[in-house]
Amino acid sequence: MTYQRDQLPSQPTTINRRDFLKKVSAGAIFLPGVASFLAACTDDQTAGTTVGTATTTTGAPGTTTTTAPGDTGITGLLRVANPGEPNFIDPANALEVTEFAIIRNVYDGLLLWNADYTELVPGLALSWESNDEATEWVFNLREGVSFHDGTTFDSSVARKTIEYYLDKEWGFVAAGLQEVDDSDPAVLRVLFSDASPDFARNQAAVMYMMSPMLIDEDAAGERAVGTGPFRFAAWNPGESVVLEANEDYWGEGPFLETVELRNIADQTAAITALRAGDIDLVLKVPPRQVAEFRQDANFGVSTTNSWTEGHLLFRTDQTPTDDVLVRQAIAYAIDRESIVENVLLGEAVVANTPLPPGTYGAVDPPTGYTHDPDMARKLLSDAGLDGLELRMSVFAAIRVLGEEVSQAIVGQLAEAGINVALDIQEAGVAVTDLIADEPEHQLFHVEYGYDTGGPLHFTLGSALGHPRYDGEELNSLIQQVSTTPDGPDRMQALAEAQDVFMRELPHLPLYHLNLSDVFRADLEGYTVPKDGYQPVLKRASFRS
Amino acid sequence: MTKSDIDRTVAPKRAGPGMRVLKAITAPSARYLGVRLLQGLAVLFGAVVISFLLIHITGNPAEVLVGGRFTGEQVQQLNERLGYNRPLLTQFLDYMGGVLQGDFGDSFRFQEPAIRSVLRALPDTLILVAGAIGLASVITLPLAIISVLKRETFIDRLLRRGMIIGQGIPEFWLGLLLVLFFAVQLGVLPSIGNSGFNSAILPVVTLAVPLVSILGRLLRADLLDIMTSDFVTALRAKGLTEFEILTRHGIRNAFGPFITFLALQLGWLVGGTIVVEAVFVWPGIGTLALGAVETRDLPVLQSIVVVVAFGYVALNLAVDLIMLGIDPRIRLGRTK
Repeated sequence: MTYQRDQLPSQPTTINRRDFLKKVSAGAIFLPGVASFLAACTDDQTAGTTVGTATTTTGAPGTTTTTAPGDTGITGLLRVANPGEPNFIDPANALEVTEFAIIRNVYDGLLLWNADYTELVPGLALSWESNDEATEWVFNLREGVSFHDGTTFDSSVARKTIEYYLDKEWGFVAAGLQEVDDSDPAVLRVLFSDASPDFARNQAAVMYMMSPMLIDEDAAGERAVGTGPFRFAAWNPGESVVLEANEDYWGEGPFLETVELRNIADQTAAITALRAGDIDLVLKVPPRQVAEFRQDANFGVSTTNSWTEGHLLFRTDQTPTDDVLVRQAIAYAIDRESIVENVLLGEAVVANTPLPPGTYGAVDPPTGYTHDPDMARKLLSDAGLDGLELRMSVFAAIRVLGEEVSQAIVGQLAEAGINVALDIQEAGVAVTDLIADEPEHQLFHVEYGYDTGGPLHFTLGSALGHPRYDGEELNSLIQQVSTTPDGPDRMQALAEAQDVFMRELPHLPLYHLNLSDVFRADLEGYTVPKDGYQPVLKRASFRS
Repeated sequence: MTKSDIDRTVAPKRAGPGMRVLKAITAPSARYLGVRLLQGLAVLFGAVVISFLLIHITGNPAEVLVGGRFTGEQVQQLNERLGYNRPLLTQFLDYMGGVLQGDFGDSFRFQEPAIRSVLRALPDTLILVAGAIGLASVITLPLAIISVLKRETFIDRLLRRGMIIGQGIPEFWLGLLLVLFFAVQLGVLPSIGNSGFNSAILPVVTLAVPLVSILGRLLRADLLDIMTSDFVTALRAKGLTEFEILTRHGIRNAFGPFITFLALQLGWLVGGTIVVEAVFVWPGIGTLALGAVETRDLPVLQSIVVVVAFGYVALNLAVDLIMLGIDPRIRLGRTK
């Protein structure tokens, strides 16, 4: 048998000079490509985001890293699972809860909320008042407060912040601003051309006093410099943000030496890490896991009925949801009690008004919607319809059981002859459809945090508000509410507005969610805030 | 005949320099490399084109970018600032020019060149990938050898079934299971993040399991093929044991396809670590890509596409070079 040469086992090769040169020349063609790539990134290596000497450690929890206990009482490292990446940390532009996790702890506002978020208490302002028309506000400022970079806080600084906010996302809280009087460094006078009844209230959660140097350098997107209990120490892009205690804080706290906000987008990973001891605090844990953690002595749970409302937004300019009878039919067809009971496991409160319970002017209006599929069908036939086909979009970003609730809704609507096709969509895509001229969906399941404790939800026209609703009665009532100062007249108008709202249903309030944060059992002084912008850490400490 | 006559006929004249260069660049190995290089460049070009089209596919990029946050007028301004309202070809040429210099624009989120974000995240992913490949190679070899040596026995059947299961296991599930057992239950390994060698163990194992399965099946099939070929019969006749034949001759012949396939898997792995990085909160390219998709950080997405394609091409070229070195058939231009 003769063998073909290529069937023989391969012989060991010897590299002779010719082969070597050929191979090297092949490589030489490659190198410039690689080199140009690397050259592009060997310019300035300083990422420009590390301030100070912070350490990102995942070491033993509760490590005492500073002075002996009893000196300042500030000890420990708290590792928090931030549910995503904070990208825009400029307080005037921030929208995501991941960004407020930083802002809330590094900055202060003129006013703050009390513990159960029902009343305003002094922050950087000691007292405040407005004239009868709510066109002029006066704040008496706290003295002896410095920013983390050393600048002193006074009325000129406050003015600078207000003016900085004007052309940004949250600028509308100062809409109609006419003049800011900072002649007295201890007194801030703000004048509006129209009534601005919520200006003080908006200071508590929306407007944060920023360092003037930060504003001058236009660097609010790169780092945070405020007066708050924690200092912005380091930003590891894509990984974490590190905060350090501000030992000169003017108020109560802080008691934690270091806080590490780690980006953990996947909630299962966050909860697993908590159980494994690699994370100390997880935010907005879903109902089923909350129930488990409550039984576990190794963990503490803080729960509150929050201002976060799950609701169904309607495109009121599209058939068939432009017919109020259809919207009411949908309201009767949905069994909100059952959803709260069975899907949310009781971790919510059925909402009969868009204003969360306990907020200024919230009442339970006379119009309520019980679960009544027969009524729903009757209303549909009154509207001249025999059954209905709709498309619903649910925001994928809803932390707590958005999909499950949506599916329950779809099932319930089907019983009333309304067939709904469900799409789970990314926030950007859903919002684009929400404001599009020719949307694909008529229903949007949204979970919307309530920001200010004031009637913000009533503002019509904004994208996540009530696009294209044009009912005159409600609109004029809201106009009235927005321009009447706090007092019995405003309460009256608010009550009427809520009543009309629930009749007209630009959106259908479903429930106000309980929010629960879970943490290591030896963490004390941590309470979950009602407005859903957690964590608020100034009173938190590790039990020694 | 004189001696010089014989010399002239038997010893060919040495070719002139021009002839030698021509021979060098048309030699089979050079042709082979040249073809591969051109293919690689074509793939890279395709990747650049695709990454460019990425951001235009869903409509106006500025609109998609802002996702409803800004008004129509602000969107227009953004369009102008980012240059998205120019003709497509102009934009593409601009983009190509930038890419050739390593400039993909700035990340919308991180206020730094997009390429820098990617190159910062790349080493973390490479750690996982290299670890997975290394672990998989070390495990696959003995498993495949045992499987072939003991073919059609209980052990072989067990291994084969194990590999089929391993190939089908969802990585998310496996990763979570490993975390729950080793990190939560036993508490011996970290559950999330990159904090050193220990933290890489679980993600590497998670990535390696399907890899071992795929590679194992491939290697086993190749080895079996070789073991039933003619030259092996001759070797058996010479008195070599099965084991000796396998390790000394079988492996070398199977080596080529093995590393070619490995290179393919490597490319897949770099892109496919998204799930594992999500479960273990590993700060690599997968996490970066997820964040970029969620926030529509288009320059970063574009960079990722091109960087991954580049790595893929480079890797395959490296494999081709290795193949050139070890397989004389290629060098001689006599591949089957």
